[in-house]
Amino acid sequence: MASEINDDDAIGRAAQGDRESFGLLYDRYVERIYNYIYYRTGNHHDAEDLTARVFTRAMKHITSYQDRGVPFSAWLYRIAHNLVANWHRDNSRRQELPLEDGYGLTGEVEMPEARLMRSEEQRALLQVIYGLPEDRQQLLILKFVEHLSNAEIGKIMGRTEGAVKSLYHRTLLSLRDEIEIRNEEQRKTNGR
Amino acid sequence: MNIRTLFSRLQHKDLSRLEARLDSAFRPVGPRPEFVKRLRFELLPPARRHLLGIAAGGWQVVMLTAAGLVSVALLLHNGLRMAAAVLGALGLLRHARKSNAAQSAVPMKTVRQ
Repeated sequence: MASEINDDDAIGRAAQGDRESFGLLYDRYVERIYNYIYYRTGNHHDAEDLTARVFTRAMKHITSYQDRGVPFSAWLYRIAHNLVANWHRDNSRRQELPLEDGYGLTGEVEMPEARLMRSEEQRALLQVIYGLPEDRQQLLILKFVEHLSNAEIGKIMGRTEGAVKSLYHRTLLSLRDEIEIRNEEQRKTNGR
Repeated sequence: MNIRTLFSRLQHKDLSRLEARLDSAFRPVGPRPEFVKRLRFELLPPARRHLLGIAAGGWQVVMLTAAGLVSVALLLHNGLRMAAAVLGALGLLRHARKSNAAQSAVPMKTVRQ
């Protein structure tokens, strides 16, 4: 069964030209890579385009892939990170806030007003997050979308677990401060 | 409880609330199934032999190959026979012309009485 083949075996076979093994890796990681890119770009169109480029590049270079003690997913995330960084540079535009209805909401039944308020809060939070440096955005997405541990994130970002933990703490503090500043500005604007 | 401990606890509570908000904001959205399927097809198009419905290494491949070779051999054979027939016909024609020409050149003997 394909599901019984682990990543190392699949990578080894894919590197030898076994296309079905690469297909197996694709099936395992396409959603994760897509989610990561979606939150880095803010829209489905660019997320699809960049996801396609990630796997095209991965397939092209799979024969030269070397196991350096880093998971295969880390290699894919690095490709994704580089492509997104290039995308930001080439487009020179701010990340879009996701506009799709029902974005990030659970399946619970809510009153439309409560739903709208929650959606606006989420948008406001994401707007602050998109103002952070890229490495901090990457950290938050890997932690809260992919639910990776500090050790796993460290392998992807090329940092130690301790460095990731420290960066995470600093990120939360700066995020909190930024939110407070924006809330204060909002209060002043509303008070006028 | 000293001020430092109190501040630390408040900060911890603050950050915990922020983490809860982040958890709520970052929900996996997932790609469209059509996109996933289409990209897979583009990256890994099915092999042509599968499109023809012929399994790799199957007996059908052997039979088709044999049939092709026999057809080519028959074509060559017929072609050679045709060429031989044409050459033969040309040869006969030339011989006939020569014979006619030779008969015309010999003078008729007159009988003198």
